Amino acid sequence: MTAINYYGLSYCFTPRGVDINAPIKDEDADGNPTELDGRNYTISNNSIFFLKEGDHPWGHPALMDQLYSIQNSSELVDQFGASGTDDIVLRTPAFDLKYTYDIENKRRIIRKVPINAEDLTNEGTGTITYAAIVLHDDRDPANPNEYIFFTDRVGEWGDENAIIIIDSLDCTADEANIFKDMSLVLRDTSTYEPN
Amino acid sequence: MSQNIFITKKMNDELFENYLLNRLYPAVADDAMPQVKVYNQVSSGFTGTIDDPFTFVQFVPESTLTVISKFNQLLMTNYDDVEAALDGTYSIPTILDTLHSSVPDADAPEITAARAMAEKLVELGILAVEDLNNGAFFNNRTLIGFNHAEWTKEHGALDDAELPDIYQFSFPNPVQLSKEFIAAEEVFRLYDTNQNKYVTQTTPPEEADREKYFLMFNSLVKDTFSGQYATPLPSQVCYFYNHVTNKSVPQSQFIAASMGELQDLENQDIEYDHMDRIQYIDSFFIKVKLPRLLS
Repeated sequence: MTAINYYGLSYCFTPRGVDINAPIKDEDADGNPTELDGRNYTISNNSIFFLKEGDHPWGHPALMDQLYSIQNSSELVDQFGASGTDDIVLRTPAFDLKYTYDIENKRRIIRKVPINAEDLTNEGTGTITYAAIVLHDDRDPANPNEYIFFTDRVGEWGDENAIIIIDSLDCTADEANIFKDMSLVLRDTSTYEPN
Repeated sequence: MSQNIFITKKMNDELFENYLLNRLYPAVADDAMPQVKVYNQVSSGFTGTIDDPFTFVQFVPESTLTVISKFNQLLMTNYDDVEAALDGTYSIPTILDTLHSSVPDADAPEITAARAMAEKLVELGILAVEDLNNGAFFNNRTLIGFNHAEWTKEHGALDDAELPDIYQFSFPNPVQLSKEFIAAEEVFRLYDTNQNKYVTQTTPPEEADREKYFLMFNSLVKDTFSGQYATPLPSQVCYFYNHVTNKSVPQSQFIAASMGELQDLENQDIEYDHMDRIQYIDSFFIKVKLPRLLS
C-alpha cells in the first residue's frame, strides 16, 4: 500500500459552520478579523499542565500508550495528579488562545493572548520534562471538546524558540513560577518535503 | 533540543472524522457533492462535472501512480521551474485535478482527460518520455456501482492494545470495472516522441513485463482557504507547506492498495487466486494507521 501526502492536521482546526463559499472577512488596522471567519478565532479556557519524569516519555512505550488514551484534562489529572502518579508539578490558570490561519503558507498558528505573564499554580515539586497543552474546543457550543498535545519543548525565559516559556523548569513548593507564553504552529507536511 | 508533539487518540479521531474520512467519503459534512471537476485538456477551461461512474476510486496500473507521484515531487522540490515550463498554459491545480480524471474526452471517447494531460506534460518538457512509456493513464478503470454512501468506517478500539491507532474504511458491495481487466491483454503502451502521444504496441508483452495494478483511492479536498470560493466542488488539490521555500505547494493525495496473486513472491494488499480476468470487485476495505508523534 502506498499513501502520498496524506495528512491534514491544520485542517482539523477549521471552525465548524463556516460558510466555505463565503469570502474571508476583512481585517482591521491591527490585522484582527472584523468578524469570526475560518482564519481567525479566539477560544477561552485552555490550560497547560507541566509534568516531571525521569526522562521525557518519548521512547517509553507503556507511558506513551497511557498518554495516547487520555481523553480530557480530568483523566489527565486523575492519572498524573496527586491521586495518581503525582507527576503534575505546575498548571496554568485558564487562558485564551488565538487561532490564526496563515493563508499564504497554509499554516495554523495557535498563540496565547494577550501576551502577558501569569502566575502558575504549584501542584508538586521537581524538574519539568514535558507538558500537556489542553486545547479547549467550543467551536460547536453544543458539543465542547478538549484535545491534548504533549510536548517536550518547555523553555525558560529567553528561550524564544520554545513552544512554551516559563520562568524556571525547576519547581519547589515555596517558590513562585511564572508562565510567559505559548505558541504552536501546525502545518500539513508533505511526503516530499525536503529535509 | 527536539520539538516533538505527541497527540492523543482523541486528536487522531478528530483527524479521521473531519479530515481523512471526508477526503474519501464525500457524502458527509462539507463535501456533499460526489462529483469531480472536468477540464478541457486543450483549453484548460472548466467544462462540467460528472458523478457516474464514480471516479474517486479507480483500478490503475502502477505507472499512473508513478506519474502522479513524480509530478507531486516536482512541485514540492522545483515548483518555480514547473510553473515557468507551463508558462501560463495550464494552472497547476487544473493539472492535478485532471491527472485524477479518467473521464473520456467527448470528441474522442478512447482518450481520457488524464492521458491527454500527461501527453501535454511531456510535450512541455515537464515529464520525461520514460514516465509515460509504461502506459500510465491508458488502462485506468473506474468503478461502476460504487455508492459512496455505503462506505462504512471503524475506529481503532482502545481496549485492543494493537489497534488503537488503526482506522478502517470498508465497502461491502460488488462494483463493476468500467472495462474488463484481462491480464494477458494488459499490454504496454508506448509514448511516440514524433507524434507526441501514446501509440498501441501490437505485440503483447511478456508476463513479467506486465504492470502491477492498484486500487487507488483519490483524495478529495475542500480547501476553505484555497481561494476557490466560487465553486462548491471538491478538488484533488491540497496544499502542503515547504519549510525550505517557505511557501505552500499544491499536491494531490491518494491511497493505493496493490493487487496481485497469492503465489506472487511479493505480498500484495489484495490477493487473488488468479488475476487473469476481473469484471467485478466484490468488496474492499482499507486500514490506515495514524501517527502519534509529530516532529
